[in-house]
Formats: sequence, C-alpha cells, structure tokens
Amino acid sequence: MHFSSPTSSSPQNPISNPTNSLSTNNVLLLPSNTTSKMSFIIPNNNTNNNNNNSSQQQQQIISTPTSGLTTSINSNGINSISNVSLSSGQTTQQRLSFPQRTTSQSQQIPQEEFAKILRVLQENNMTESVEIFKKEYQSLFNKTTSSFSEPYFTALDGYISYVQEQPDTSRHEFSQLIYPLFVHMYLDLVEKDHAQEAQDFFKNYVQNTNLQATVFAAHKDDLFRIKSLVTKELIAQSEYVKSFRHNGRYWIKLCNASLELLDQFLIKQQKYPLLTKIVQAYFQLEINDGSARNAETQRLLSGGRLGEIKTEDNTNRMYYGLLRDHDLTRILQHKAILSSSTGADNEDGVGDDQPSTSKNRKKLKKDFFNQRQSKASLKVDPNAPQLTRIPIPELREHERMDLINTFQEDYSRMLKITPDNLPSCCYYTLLNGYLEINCLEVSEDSTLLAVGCKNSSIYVYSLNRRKLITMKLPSELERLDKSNEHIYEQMMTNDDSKDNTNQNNDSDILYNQRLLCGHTGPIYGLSMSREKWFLLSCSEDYTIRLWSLLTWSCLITFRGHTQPVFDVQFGPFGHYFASCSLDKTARLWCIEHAQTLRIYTDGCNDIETLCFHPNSNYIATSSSDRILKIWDLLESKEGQQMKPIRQMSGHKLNVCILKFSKDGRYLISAGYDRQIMIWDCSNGSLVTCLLGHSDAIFSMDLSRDGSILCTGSADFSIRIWNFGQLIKDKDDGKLDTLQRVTPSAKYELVTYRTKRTSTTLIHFTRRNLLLGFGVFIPPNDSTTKATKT
Amino acid sequence: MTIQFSVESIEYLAEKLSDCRYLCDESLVYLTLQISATISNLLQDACKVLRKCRRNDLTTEDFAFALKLNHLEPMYGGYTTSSIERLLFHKIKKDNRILYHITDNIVQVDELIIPQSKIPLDIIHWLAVNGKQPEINENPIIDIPIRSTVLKKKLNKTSHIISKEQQIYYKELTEMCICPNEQKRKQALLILSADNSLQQILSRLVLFISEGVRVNLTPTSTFDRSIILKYLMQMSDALLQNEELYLERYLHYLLPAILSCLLERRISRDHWSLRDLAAKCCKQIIRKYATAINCLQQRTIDVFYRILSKNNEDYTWPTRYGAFIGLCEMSHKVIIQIVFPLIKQLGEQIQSISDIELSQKITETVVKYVTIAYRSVYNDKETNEKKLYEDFGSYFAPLIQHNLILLL
Repeated sequence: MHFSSPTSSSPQNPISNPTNSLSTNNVLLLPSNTTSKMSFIIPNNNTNNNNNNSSQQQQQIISTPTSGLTTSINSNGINSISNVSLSSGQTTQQRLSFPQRTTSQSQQIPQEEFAKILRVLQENNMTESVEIFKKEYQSLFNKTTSSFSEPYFTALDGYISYVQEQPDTSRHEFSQLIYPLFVHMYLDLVEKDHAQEAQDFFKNYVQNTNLQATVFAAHKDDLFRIKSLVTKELIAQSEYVKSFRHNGRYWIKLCNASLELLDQFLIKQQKYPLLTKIVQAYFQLEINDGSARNAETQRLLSGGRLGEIKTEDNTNRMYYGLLRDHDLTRILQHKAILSSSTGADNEDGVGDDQPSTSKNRKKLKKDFFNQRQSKASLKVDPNAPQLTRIPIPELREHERMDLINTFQEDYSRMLKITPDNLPSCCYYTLLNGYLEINCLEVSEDSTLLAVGCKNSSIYVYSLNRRKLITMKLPSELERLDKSNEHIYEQMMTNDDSKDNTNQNNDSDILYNQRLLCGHTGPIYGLSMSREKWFLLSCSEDYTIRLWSLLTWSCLITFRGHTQPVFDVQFGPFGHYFASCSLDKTARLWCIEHAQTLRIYTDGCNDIETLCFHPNSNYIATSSSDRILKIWDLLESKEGQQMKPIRQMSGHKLNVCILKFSKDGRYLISAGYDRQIMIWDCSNGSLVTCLLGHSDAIFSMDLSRDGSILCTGSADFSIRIWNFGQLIKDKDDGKLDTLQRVTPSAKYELVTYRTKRTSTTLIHFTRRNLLLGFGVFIPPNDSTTKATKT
Repeated sequence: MTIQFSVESIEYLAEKLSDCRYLCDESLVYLTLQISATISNLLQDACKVLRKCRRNDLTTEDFAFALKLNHLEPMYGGYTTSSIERLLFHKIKKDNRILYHITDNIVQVDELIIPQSKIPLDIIHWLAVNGKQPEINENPIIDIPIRSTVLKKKLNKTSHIISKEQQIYYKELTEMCICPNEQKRKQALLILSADNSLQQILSRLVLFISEGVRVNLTPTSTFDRSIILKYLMQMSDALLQNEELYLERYLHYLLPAILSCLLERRISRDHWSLRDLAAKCCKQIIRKYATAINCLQQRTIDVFYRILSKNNEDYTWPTRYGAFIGLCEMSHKVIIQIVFPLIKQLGEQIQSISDIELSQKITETVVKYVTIAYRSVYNDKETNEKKLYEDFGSYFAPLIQHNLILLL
C-alpha cells in the first residue's frame, strides 16, 4: 500500500481527475477548489482491512511473550517446588503455539493447566503456595484478556512519543491528532465489548498530567461525556458520538512540512496500522500555506468538537455592512417634509457636542436633503447587502415619530464614554427570585423589563415611573375619530380604575407590573420588539408565543419545534424573528405567519443561543459542539441544504451570549470558558481573545456608539472594555496577531463588583447609561452550617 | 462529574424494589455500569437547563426536565418550588462520608392553596457613578486592587477621615462592649459579628482592642483587669466571626494583643477562660488568614513551641498552658506533629508542680486534646498499651488510655 507523496499534488501539478487516481492507487487524492489545499482520504477496501488484520495478529503474537507470563511465575516460583515452574513453562509454550485462537479458547487451556498445578500443590499440602499461585493466575488471566487493548496502548503511546520527538516549533501541530485518536480508540474498545480495558485506557491517558495540560485542556467538557459511555448500547444512543463520528470528519490544519512528515509516519512506515486506519476513516487534513502556525494560535482555535473549521467554508461572501439607507433615510425624508411645513424650528436641539456618527451628520444637512440622498446612494457601503435582499416592511407612522424623537431626545445627548469618562451603572437586583427566574429582557428604550419564570409565567415591569399602558376595548375604539393626529394616544386607556390594586404600591419602585400566563413550561427566552408592541417568549413546552404589550394578551402561538425552545430573538427591524431549540434546529419566523419560514439544521448538536445581525440579513447561532455559525436569511437554491455561511471554533465550553458589533463587522462571543472572543465576519478569523473574568460570562452589551464593550459574569463583576480602541489598533496593525490573547489590562477600563448577584442582563440606555440586572443569589446557609459543625 | 454507584447499593436496591434476590454478580455489575452511565447522561441533560438559566445550583426540576427529554417516566412529587431552604440539597458529613439530601418539611394545605405571590422584588442602586463605586451597603467592600499602588500610598499619607455618624457609632459601640450590663454587651457583640458596614471604622476598633490590652496588661493598673481583657477578647472573637470584614490589614495589631492575653505571665481571677477564648481567636485568625506567603501559622507555632520546649523555668506554668492550648486549638495535624513529642517531657515536669489545682487543670486539658487527636489517627479499637507508654510517658499514658476507652 502506498501513498503518493504530496509533491505529486503540489500546486504546480494538480491532479485533474480524481477518479483516475482512485483506480490506480489505494489512495484517493482530492484536490480541492483552491490548489494550495489538499485533502486525502484512503478508502477502507477489503485488501486494506486484511492487511491491517494480519498485522494486528502479528502484533498480538509479538506482544504475548512480553505480557510477563514466564517472568512473573518464575520469580514467584522460588518459594514453590520446581515442579511448578516447569509446568508453567509449558503453559507459555502452549500459549505461544496458539496465538491465533480467540481469547475464549485460549482461556480454557491455561485453566486446565491451572487445575493440574493446583492439584499437585494441594497434594503436597502447600497452602501458601496455593494462595500465591491462585493470585498470580488471576492477575495473569486478566492480562491475557487485556492483550486485546495492547495494540491500542502501543499505538497511542507510539504516536505520543513520536510527537515528543518533533522539534519545539512544530510539535503542537502533531499533538492536534492525539485527542481525536484517543477518543476513537476508546470508542472502538467499548464497541468491541472490552469495557474494562476501555476504562483502563481512558484512565491511563486522561490522568496523565502532561497530556491533561496540553491536549485535553480544550476538551474537558467532552471528556466527561465520553467517560459515561461504557457500553455499546450507550454509544449507539449517544448524541455526542453521533456528532463526533457521523457529523463529518475531524478537521485538522497542518503546514506542508508537518503533513509530509505525518504522511511518512502514518502511511509509508505503517508502524501502527491502527492509527492509519483511524486517520483514514475519520480525519481530514488541510494544508496551511507557509510555515507552521504559532502554538498559541492553534490552542486558541481548538476546542470545537470536530476540530477546526474548513477554510473553504468561510470563503463565501457575507454582506456585513449596515443598511444605512433603510430606515434612517426614510426618517429624514419624513423630517424634511415636516421641517418644510413647520419651518426649521428644532435645529437648536442638534448641537456640536453630539458624536460624529453618520446618522447625525446626515441630520445636520437635512436642508440639502435631495443632494445628500444622491450622494448617499453613490457612496453605498460595498459590504452592505441590497435593500431588497431581505424584504423588510415599511415603518409605520408612529414608529417613524418614535425614531425621530429618539434621535432628538436621546442620541443628541448621548454620553461619550472614554477612559476618563467611565459610565455610571444603575443596578437592578431581583430578590426572592433565585432558582425561580430563568431569563430577563429589557426593551430597547430601557423602560420595560420582562422576567421569565420557571413557573411558566412572564412578568412585565415598568422601569420608569409611568404606568403600563393598555389599549381601549374595541367598543371604545370604534367611537374614536380616526382622522385625529393624536389617534395613537387616544387609543390607550387613561383611567386607572383597573389598577387600583396596585395603588398601594405607589411608594414601591416597581410602579406597575403585568403578568402574562399561557405557557405550560418554564420560560427560557424573551425578546421585545423595538417599538414595545410585542413580546416573544419561548418555553419548554415546544412553543413560542407572541404577546401584545398593548392588550396584554397572547396573539399567536408558534408551533414547530419538537423539543424545548431555548432562545428567541426579534430581528433589528421587528417583523422577523428567529428561535433555536434542543431539537437541533434554528428557525426563522415572521410574526405575520404561523409557519416557519426557514429551518437551519445543525446535524447532531443542540442550538443554545442566537443573535440577529444588525442588517437583518443573517443570524448567528452557537451550538453544543462549541462552534459558532452564521446563517443567511436568504433562501438557498432549490434542494440544497442550508449551510452556514461562517463557522468559528475556539470556545472550549458552551457559549452563553453572542452579539454583533454595531457596525456589523465583528461578532463577539462569550461563555462558560471565560473567554471573550472577537471574530471578523468578513473572513471568519479570530481578531483577539480577551481574558479577565474568573467565571462564566452571562451577559454582554455594546454602548450605543459601539465603542465600549461591557460584560457581566458569574464572578459577581461587570467589566468594561475599550472595544473601539481595540478595533482601531487592529486596523492600524498594532494588535499583536501572533499573541492572540490580549492581556486584559490593555483594554479593560474598569471593573464593577456586585455583592452576590451575577449579572444576567446588561444594557446600555440610549444615553449610554449602563443598566445591570441580576438575581440575588442567597448565601447557601445549609452547607456552611454543615461544614462548621 | 464522575458518577459511580457501588455494586452493593445497586444490589440492595434491586432486592428492595423488585424482589430480584438472585441476580448473579455479572448482571449486577452490568446493571451498575448501566445505571451509572444513565444517571450521568441525565445529569448532563439537566445541566443544559442549568446553563441556560445561568444558575449554579441544580434543582430537581432540572432533573425532571432531563427525564422528560429522554422520554423516561417522569418524577412524581419531589418538586421544590416554594422556599429556598427546601430547594437546595443539604450536606451531611459524617465519618468522611458525604450525603446530600433535601429537607422535606410537612407543608400546610393553606400554604399550597394561597397562590404563591412571591413577586420578585427588585432593588435599584447605583453600582457605579462615573466609574467609581460608591461605598454603600448594596455594594461590596472592595479590597484596594494591586493595580493602584500609587493610590494606596496616597491613602496612607492622608489621615483616614470618618463621618460624624460613624464616629458616634464607634463611640457607642465601644462603650457598649465594655459596659457591665450583660445584655447590652451581647447586643454589641452581635453587631460586631454581623454588621458589614464596620469596615470603615474597623481600623479604630482594632486599635481599641490592641490599646486596651496593652493598658490593662501593664502591672501598674490596680483594679481587676482580667474582666476587661475578657471583654476585649470577646470583641475580637465577634469581629473574627464577621464574614464580611477584611481584617488582614490589621492583623499586626490584633494578633499580638491576642497572644499577650493567651500567654500572660500573671495569674488573675478566671484567667483560664480568658486563655481559652484567646486561643480560640488565635485559631480563627490562622484559619482565615494564614497563607504560605505570610507564614502566619509557622510563626505562631514557633512562638508557642519555644515556650513549651524550654526545660528551665523561664516561663510560668500559666504561660505554658496558654502556649499548649494555642497549639492544640490549631488542628489535629499540629497536635500530632508538634505536641505529641513534647508530652512525655511535659508529664515529667507536671509531676514536680506543687500546686494541685494547677497541675490538675493542665493535665485535664492535655489529656482531652491528645486523646481526640490520637483517636483521629489510630482509629482501631485496640490501643497498643506499650506504644502509648513509649509515646507519652508513664504520667500521661494511663490517663490517655482511660480516656480512649471512654471515647469508645
């Protein structure tokens, strides 16, 4: 069996016809679209298997004499009579002469001998020797059966020592293979009904401190899962194995030199046929251009269940630009009409101190609106998607008014956060809610707080002192004059007669609250639309409900998911929303239809959180295989399965929260592994990784001007990061890309600590005041008491 | 996260639940493996909810969720919804075995009928204003971070100013602590052990204790000072019990004061209990603040050891008693490693004391501590008499042996 050397598939000489090479060789060479990359797969045909089997048997023959049969008996035979050592010698000879028998047969032969020797010993009345001999036999007996796992041990040990021999500069490249090899070997052992040996195998390598620190560090989560797979049946059922073995190949990126060496070791030498077999069946190697990557970079990007991400998967174009012309221009148009009719009266509200966002600049020049528009249409962001790519409904009248007010009232007075001018933080602590409150959501204008509880109810609170408004009854609505310009205000009730029960609580900070009942299971996710009309909730009862925040009732129940729904989020312009669930799908919905618009399936992994792109063209999801995926909302071609447009691996534990940066270019993710990772959407590469928190990160928000990142964690702290500076440094090339982990001190501005509240929601108001929300965690008295006594 | 049930417990359950008396060993082992793996899988599923809800404590509902997800028969009852007390697993530790359980109280029907109107109440406060966290009760006390060393230096130079309210608070508190009224004093001690706003006046409180000890220990004072010393020790004990306070920066005042009370030369009325209390405080300080870097434990042990190991009559017996009890309070490990070798010699010396009351008291204490420590190491029921005599000499060995038998 030969593997054609990589030189034949070098960029200068690509093999054009893959089938040709298949027929001529056992080796299949598949040149991918770009010639610089190469993948090799070797089919497991019969001849190959036979070869492997025979060599395995050979190895068994070799391994039996070393199993310590003769030596241990002889050493113990000192205090027994010579008779014994002689007969034990016979057993070894017999074992050697029947090496090809199955284990059950070979067990019987020494058993006969064992009985004989035992009889001889008992006849001579040597009780001590009998004891020792029995013990010795027992240990040997175990050893003989364990010979099945012997090739596994030798192969992996061999590979590990091979890795150790490599020079420091490229050793990490080879060590990438250890973890997947280990897992496949373990699963093999269990599947072949050698549970005990499999456990020994597992313990032997996992408890190796050296390996623990290097190879297994990124996969701790999965190792627990693997450990509980102790029988064949469990493996067959396990979702983990499904996603590890049958969801694709384990993807490894190597440099050219390393690949040649590896090819030499695995294919040419064939020292450990077992390794070759596993690599051929389950691995895919990709060549990186140039020299070996930095060990630190590789460590950061590892952690995905199936290794790294195929470079090819991230090559499709993603329109990450913002829809600048969408709603804003229309607002301006509206404003222009207004100002032309009433005269330029509210010019004064727009001062010089406002941040220089393009929005405001546009606003300043509203008198030259027509020229401006033509200019704006010329200066289209090349990365922005077309307006019609994903149809978005027109804004309603009141939304337009709201937006205009927003810009005048809030954005013009927005606080600029700098290292000298750090944000103030107002903190809402929810008491009596630990283990009861599952999720929190705050409205875009920071006036409403929604709380999803375990007992399937949803509470909505007003955070300012205003009462929650309610729409009038239909009979009253009919009586209204529809031509009135204050029609929206008149539609709402003014009398507080209904809320008399809450009058007593006037002194209370929670001025008003509402209870929404309907779900039949714990609530896991909430999302409020921008105009505060709708609230979405998802629950364990497989449904998503749309609630009206004007009539305080459920409008639609969206059914479709077949497992508990874990997250739901409105698109940035409302209308669309996305949900994700334990049924391994993310779905796109529209509030006007009860049916699913798109289904994004993710093989064998639960999808845990999601996030909409600010231009409403993409959604990002994180799944239980710790890989982030970005999906396109645009329909794929007929019959084709939805494929993620970007995939990112690097998190070592589950991801809790995802956010796109305000300009839509960067995706920020954080989770249980305490890393805040910043990804560039344009090519799916890692910008940097911020470290600083000492526990899981639960919440994250960006300031309204997009320059400050704020994270809340289970270590009872909120950290503020200078995101704008980081991106600026990155663009200037000052960011050290070799050392992708950025020390926290460089960009961390300040840390705020809470007492016993882990911040589960963090939110910047329109004026850049920071709001933190968290459930107070009562100190666990019982355990402390128990330890004291 | 490794879950492994013992074969015995599975066997017991199999017998109990389904009357399978004659399960062979092989099937039992298989059953154990299966059950361990199934439970482990279920827990992994339960953790999905745990992670989603951003919690740290697993509840029974989470497990019920996992059962539902795997289409297994759901749990009936065992749901914990109302009080937090009942929600959490409690820990019992006995004989190095840990058991978790839920306290299952009897619930009145009325409580169930009345809808649980436990509205999550929220409290608003300023966590930070312009980048600084105000020092209010809702915010945690922040240890000065290492980064701002410049700031720290500045702080040292300027005198620490406390507000008028805090000054009054300090005055009232200290007066209450040393007043003869028993009830008032208890109240004050309760405040000391629970109030977390004390951090601001902590430095003064510690100074109060240390100065108080210094003044009252000088031979010039005429009236009975041990009572004041006792009050001061009670104060420091209460301060040490307060979990929210950081005493670390004031230890150089507090610890010498406590050690002075523990090792004082002279004998006053009721000095035994004073020493006992001081030893307790000393133990707490070491438990809480001893690290490998500050060598607190090592240094304290050195002090005690020097006193105990000297043969000549440099130190009075009460002082030696203090050193001894200080060592014994630390841990079993200290007793075994340091006290055990000293006992033989101590026994010989005690026999030469003329004061019967004194020797009795010391003997009692020594025997008490040594027996407990001894029991913790040699847990076998038969005590080796010869070894006891070898280790502890002819004076203590019979007493210890007697006590060991009593402990059984």
